[in-house]
Amino acid sequence: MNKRKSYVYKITGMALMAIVISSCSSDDDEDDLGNWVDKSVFDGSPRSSVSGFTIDNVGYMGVGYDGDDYLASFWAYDIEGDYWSQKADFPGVARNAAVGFEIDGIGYIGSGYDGVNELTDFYSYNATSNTWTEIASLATARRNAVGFGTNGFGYVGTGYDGENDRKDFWKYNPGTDTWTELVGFGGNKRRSATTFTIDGLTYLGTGVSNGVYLDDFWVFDPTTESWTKKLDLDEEDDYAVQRSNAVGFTLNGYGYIACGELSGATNTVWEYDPATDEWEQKTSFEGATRQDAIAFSNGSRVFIGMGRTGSLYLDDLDEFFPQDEYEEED
Amino acid sequence: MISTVKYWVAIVLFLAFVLGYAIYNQPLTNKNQNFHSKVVDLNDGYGYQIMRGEKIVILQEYIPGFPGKQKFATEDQAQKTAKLVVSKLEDGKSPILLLSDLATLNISTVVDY
Repeated sequence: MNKRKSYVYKITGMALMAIVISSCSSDDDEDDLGNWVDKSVFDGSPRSSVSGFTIDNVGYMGVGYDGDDYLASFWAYDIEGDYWSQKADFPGVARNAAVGFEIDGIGYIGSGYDGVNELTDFYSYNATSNTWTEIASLATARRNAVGFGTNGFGYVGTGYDGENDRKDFWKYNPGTDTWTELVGFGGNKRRSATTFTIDGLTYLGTGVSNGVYLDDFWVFDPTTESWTKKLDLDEEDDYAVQRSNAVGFTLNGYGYIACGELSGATNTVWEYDPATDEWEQKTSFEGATRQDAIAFSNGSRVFIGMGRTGSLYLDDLDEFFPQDEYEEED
Repeated sequence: MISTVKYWVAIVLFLAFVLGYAIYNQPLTNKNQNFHSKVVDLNDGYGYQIMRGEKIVILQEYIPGFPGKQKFATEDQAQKTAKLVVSKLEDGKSPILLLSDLATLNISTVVDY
């Protein structure tokens, strides 16, 4: 009995130590540019693996997992006013690891995982009327896929179907409410990859498959629907871009990959310059390290929040100013 | 037995260190200052604001969770809903309102969309 108790103490002690060490380990790159400003609202609204999209100056996020329950509630963050509103509940089964994207002012959320099964169903959200409509389902269920809207169409690909990681891509046509398979992605199968879109071109990288963090990096041109390989994410010796469950976003013509998972949650941030195909490290995310977070961007401002580190679920939101000097006190 | 005591001591010391570290790093403005709510008259119905100090943190012009843009029918319904959100936040819980919360408060479920 005592022996068993002492194991409990040992494990508790080690867990505490791990928390403290991880919360102290963020300040090893003080020369990198970029500042983070805390915009947190909810101390106690933890959720990770949420999905969402940004329409004009409002970031929408919903579904997700809080450590106990899969969630269906759906929220809007007003970027100008810096406040939240709870919107119409997501009408499908509560889930996490879904994809979210925007096409021409309409939001879309679908696929994901409900705790038992990977899912195929998809829904569109009309922000003007605050209503959801079920649309055509994906042909194959998956979670931790990537999804992006560009040039009037939606694209969903990669992910995990419950047995295998995938590399197939599907194109959604909102005019006809149909999905068609899109061939030509030359990368490996993977889950939990990241995308960002700069000047109409969507860049895809990171992700993991069979425990290997992938180093290939691709650009998709929606006008020709073709993929082109870019320099690998480990092209330079000092690059450390590879990871999974990261967030990707675009700001002022640069792409960013932030936070995520690399044998544990990380908070590092890398900036991609499409003109040179090169990466530069920025100031690490100021909040706790996290994976499965979300980014809202209206093109000129960006906010990162939610997510988790280990089993601790996080809710705080930070605004990122990539060209500013780092200040600790904001 | 001795090793149990040792681990107890180690854990207590550790907790003290963590607590001290947390207090030392506390931001100057207390983020958990009191939440309060304010009902908003929207002419053809009611909504509410959840405030922390002077700052609006949640602005709810429509009944949360419901599809469409249904406003609260009465000031009283908006007020008791806002109070439930404040009590959740004060308990350190998520401010999410479930349909079951709204049913408990007898919030009208007539949806006009």
